[in-house]
Amino acid sequence: MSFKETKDKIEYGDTVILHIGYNNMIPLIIKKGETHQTKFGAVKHDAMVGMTYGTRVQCPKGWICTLHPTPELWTLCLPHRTQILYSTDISMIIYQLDLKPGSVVAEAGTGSGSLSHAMLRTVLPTGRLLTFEFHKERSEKALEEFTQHQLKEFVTVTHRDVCGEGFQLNNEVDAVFLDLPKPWECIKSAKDAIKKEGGRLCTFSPCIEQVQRSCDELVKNGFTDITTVECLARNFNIQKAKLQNINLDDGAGDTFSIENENSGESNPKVMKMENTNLDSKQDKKRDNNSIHCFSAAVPVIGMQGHTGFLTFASIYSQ
Amino acid sequence: MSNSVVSEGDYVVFKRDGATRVFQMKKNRQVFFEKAKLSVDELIGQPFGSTFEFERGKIIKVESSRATELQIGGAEVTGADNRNLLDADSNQKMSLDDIMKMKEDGVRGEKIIEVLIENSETFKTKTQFSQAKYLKKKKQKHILRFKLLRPTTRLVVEIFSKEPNKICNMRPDTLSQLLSYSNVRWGSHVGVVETCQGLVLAALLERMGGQGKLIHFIPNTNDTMCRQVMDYFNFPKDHLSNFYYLPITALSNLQETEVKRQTQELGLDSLIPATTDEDFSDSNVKQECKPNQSLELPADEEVLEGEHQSLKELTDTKLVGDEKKNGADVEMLDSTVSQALNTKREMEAARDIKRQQRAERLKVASMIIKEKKLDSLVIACKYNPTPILMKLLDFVPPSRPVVVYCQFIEPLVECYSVIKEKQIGLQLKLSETWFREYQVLPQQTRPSINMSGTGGYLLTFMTTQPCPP
Repeated sequence: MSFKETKDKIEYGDTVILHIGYNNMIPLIIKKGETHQTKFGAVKHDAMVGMTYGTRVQCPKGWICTLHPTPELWTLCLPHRTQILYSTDISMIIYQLDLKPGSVVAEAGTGSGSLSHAMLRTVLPTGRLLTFEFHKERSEKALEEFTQHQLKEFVTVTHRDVCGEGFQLNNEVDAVFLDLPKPWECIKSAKDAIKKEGGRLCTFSPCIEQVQRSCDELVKNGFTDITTVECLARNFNIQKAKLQNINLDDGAGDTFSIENENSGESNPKVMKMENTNLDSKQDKKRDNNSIHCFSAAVPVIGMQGHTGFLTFASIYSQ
Repeated sequence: MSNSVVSEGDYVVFKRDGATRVFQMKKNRQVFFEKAKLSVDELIGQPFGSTFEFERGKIIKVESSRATELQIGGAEVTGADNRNLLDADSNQKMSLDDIMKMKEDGVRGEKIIEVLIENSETFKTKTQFSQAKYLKKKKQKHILRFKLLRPTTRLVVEIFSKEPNKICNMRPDTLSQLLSYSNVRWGSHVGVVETCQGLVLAALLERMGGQGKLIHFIPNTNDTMCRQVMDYFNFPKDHLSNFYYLPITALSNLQETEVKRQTQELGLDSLIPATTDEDFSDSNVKQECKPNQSLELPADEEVLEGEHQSLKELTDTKLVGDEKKNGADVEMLDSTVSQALNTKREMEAARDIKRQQRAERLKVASMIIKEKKLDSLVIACKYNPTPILMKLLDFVPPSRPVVVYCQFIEPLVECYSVIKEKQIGLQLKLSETWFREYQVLPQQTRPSINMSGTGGYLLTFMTTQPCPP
């Protein structure tokens, strides 16, 4: 039941996200009698059953945490069979496609199911995901995962190349998402799939040439409100940063010291070094060289510079 | 909600290039949209998604076959570049008076543009791109064409694109992530602190699809609690019955005492729905909470009045002056009539029932908090988030997503440090989004000239318990 609804206790058959470290999470299906090896040692499945999600588990060499799965956590630890979409783009796609409980959405291709899980979370229990994948094994694997995650009843997985054969849907869906090498080849078919009262469409393409061709085709097919956007997550590390204040004169007489600037306790961020011995000139100098301490939000130096262009469009009552 | 045509009383979105507005559709009401005064009577009964043109003081429906084209000829000859282009008033032979006269004579916008092109000395020497730009500008000025749409989160956010400070500078991409990371879905129990005019509440409620519990924690400040954006969504009553509020000060009592037995007896199912009143009375809260803790809450009437006013402000500012007066007169008449009909006793009885319902709803909300039934916690407000977060986290069970939005990064740095130090959050992440729009046109694809510099910051994490020592 774990992806379908939130619950408190771990049961057999649940998918649990084992949190070992920030970049070290493993999805685990809880089975009777099994053991899982982590870098902190072995963890017994049976021991986890009945525990509250989010509590810590003692391993021989440390603690790990059992997290309740969410589509966002799943995206971070799912087995990759293709390139996947991450939560920044996924959020934008779901938002721009106006998805909500009850929406019917078509997706091509399924890929590793990263977006599919987030879409299913948003449209269930009255909505539906129709997902298409031209790679047979991938589509089978996706169905297997949806079944494990108790999402099977809300999803139809079809093994088909929509580029050649189309969606074969007639006015059935509220929204269409295309993540294909040649999305422009499916736009006509996507239009046919969208309900008579209108709907939304999104394409995800890494290259601008693909966007160009898709937009041309969208205009030709009567889509309007066409927008292309790019969004990237900028993550921050929080660090305790220290900067040294330097002497701004020769040290004699009244100096412009930090102490004068920030009198007394009014600025807790400025830590003055302990003045233990003022005998020598050197010590005096060091005394004036106080350290400025602060909490800094430092953008991660190496960040993802591009994922893909997202193109959105509307079609109104046909 | 499934109604595909506009009914009287519905909120609808008017959308054209560069302008999105929301209006309530009421008979005999005029609205201001893009400097034009429109009477909306004819829009009632029209299907959502239709296109209209405002011409000669009338709203005319544009047939779908014509809705997407709107091509104006005159661009057969184009220049190579702008080396011979001189900036002079004489380039356009039509004077402002000529154009005004044409408008008065009821000449259609498209025709005016054609005349303007004919009388432009320079149009033919402009490059193809420059001609297209000229046409676009003139169309925007002389043709008022808009779509009539059903409000959705995406469209309602567009309304604030020119005044994002009203929603704490929250940008669509940030809101989209807030909605994802909070894991809100059908049936969720979500706790929210927000001061974004009700936008975050409405967006969450939309994702809950008529099931679950949405609890708005109300601060004990003197700020008027504005939730008018919730009205824009035309939520059906059963959706709104999932909306609760709880004064944030009531949490201390929940922490200290056991919930009274009577509260437990009152199961979650026995709540009386259809009380969507957003006000609450002082006495009720006191009944609900520990008597020795006084709650500084605005009195019943005050809140009502305040909300009414703010709601009026946003929806009615576009009303034409005399129309507004008429509306007010009618309202006053209505209220006097109803007063005459109702005897004082009846009114008091009705008030008692309402009061009771409110008290019961407060109890239901308290129960969810007390029993730690929250599935997610969302904070998006103009207050310092750290104390609020620390207070609320006591009521969130482990392994639940928490999203804190702030338009500044510094307060979130503090939240981050506290969560990290106390070891009560996993997958702790502080982020912002770099978001850019593109113009995609043949031979002219590039980023848009203007972009937003900030969409605010998000702190997201999953709750957990600290490692035992």
